[in-house]
Amino acid sequence: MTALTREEVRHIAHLARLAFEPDELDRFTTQLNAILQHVNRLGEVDTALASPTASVSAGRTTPLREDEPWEGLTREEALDSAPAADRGLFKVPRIVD
Amino acid sequence: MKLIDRTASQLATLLQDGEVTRSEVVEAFLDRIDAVDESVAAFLHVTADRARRLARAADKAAEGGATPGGVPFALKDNMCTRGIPTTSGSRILEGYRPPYSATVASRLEDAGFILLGKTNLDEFAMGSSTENSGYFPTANPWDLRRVPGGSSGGSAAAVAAFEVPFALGSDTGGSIRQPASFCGVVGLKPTYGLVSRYGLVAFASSLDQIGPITRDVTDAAMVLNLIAGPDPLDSTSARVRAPDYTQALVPDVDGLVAGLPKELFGEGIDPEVKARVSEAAGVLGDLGVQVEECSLPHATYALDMYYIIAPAEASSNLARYDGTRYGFRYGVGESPAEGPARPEPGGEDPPPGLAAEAARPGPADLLEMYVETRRRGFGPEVKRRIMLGTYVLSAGYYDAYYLRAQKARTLLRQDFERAFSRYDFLISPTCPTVAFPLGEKVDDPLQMYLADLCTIPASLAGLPALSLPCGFSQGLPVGLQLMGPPFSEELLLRVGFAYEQRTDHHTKRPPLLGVKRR
Repeated sequence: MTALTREEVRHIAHLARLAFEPDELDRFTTQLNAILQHVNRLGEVDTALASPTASVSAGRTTPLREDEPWEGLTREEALDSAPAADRGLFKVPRIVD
Repeated sequence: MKLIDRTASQLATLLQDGEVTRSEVVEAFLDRIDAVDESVAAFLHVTADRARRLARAADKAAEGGATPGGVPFALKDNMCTRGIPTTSGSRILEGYRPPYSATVASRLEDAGFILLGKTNLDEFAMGSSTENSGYFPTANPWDLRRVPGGSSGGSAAAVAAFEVPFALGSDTGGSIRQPASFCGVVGLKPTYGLVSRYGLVAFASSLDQIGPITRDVTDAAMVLNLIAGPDPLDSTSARVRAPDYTQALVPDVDGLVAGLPKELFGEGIDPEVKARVSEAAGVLGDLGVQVEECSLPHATYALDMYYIIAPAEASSNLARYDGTRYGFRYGVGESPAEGPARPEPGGEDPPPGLAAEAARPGPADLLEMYVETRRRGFGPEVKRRIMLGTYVLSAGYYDAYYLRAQKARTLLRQDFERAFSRYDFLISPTCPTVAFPLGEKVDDPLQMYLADLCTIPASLAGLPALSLPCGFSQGLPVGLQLMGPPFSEELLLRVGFAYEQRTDHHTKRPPLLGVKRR
């Protein structure tokens, strides 16, 4: 696998809703490439016949609880930690003009 | 014998028999925290007033007849506690007070146990030294210039320093076992699904598991009794009836067969660590365990699988920190980077600023709010994992990284299944080395990751694993890891108990000498 470029790292940061200063971008590019170089060893493993494991509990049956209503958070409790709230709603910068 | 020298089980008996009051026990540990936490820095918040109040109320209730519980404990600060700060070691959650409690917290408090505080951790449990905490590093009680391990470093250090009789940690790739090993205490990562994750701040959901950090195996069994078992609020919690784990504490291991996976004794393992673990295997041999070398061929690649799978899951889980519903938002209150150096002592008042009602003129649009909130709120290791995870899940790379890692994970699980068809349990070092100096690996993420070499395989396979003190190297504790098939906690506790009865490593006390940290 070829090494990540600075521009690719900038693009991944955008996808992840992060941003870096130029010197941070250099450092992250170097570090991410070092980590990827290590994990690329997985290419040595023959995985052709293996099915993926997404969860170790996948083999167990998925439990379902009784479909009974119960008390959740009140609106006030849910909004209590919000950085900004208005009239019972989470407040964010304008999205549509 | 002072109260703080008693184990959790001994304290439970003393309280049950009315030999001491809950208030006396709580005060003894709060005094100890006052005396040593300036050096150890294990706690992010000490809930002293609340603990005193609960202790007084329970003492009063006990006058009318015995009430159970009363033993103090601490929680790693990634477990939600209603109305009590829960930061997960991150500035992005500074001042956050959850509106609900984690199932483990409720179960312990419902049983009458008394929360003394929340312990430090690597931010969002990402790290192996607790140096990635957004607040301050924790010191190892055995040598204050060294790390306590991580990410549950605060919980392990608090137990090792006798600040609390037991604590809970969480383990994603070794975060209970590795700090337990570095701090010379007992750490148990249960089978994935045995303990509810409801209210645990999510890091990597297919790996995260809560477990006890204690001074001995008896306490580990007692605490597991309280927290294990199905929870309708966690769909991954296993629908198995948890047994009484204290019944497993019999020192009889004669006839068991144990394997030593050669991949976990290879390159990178300190020779003295290897020697201590081999001696421990010898002790088990004397007790009648048949010990043989075995192989887990894909364990060699476990670290590589882990550093694809865990960041992938983390990048998805941490998308929720966007400044909308809780936590820090850019433009509201102080920026975390400019905030106070650490939360208020006692932690019962929210730090100023972050709870501000209305947005000041802040981000111009939603994207700026997200990006500026996250870049200021997250530390470097969390950003690194989010970046890695985003990359390995991105179009064009998913198959080469994430899918391949998941397939390799299956092969590793099959290695364990094969091993357990012959062996009752497996033995390895918990960590490749003893505790390393603060600052040594903090700038080299890959070196830091290697600290989890021996703990990651059981995590990926969802297996239970117990770390026990098994001696010293350079005056620092060495940990022995026992791994078993799914839901074999009783067996691991039995083997651990038998080992502990034959040795005195778990009774050694750290000197707590050296430099003050804050």
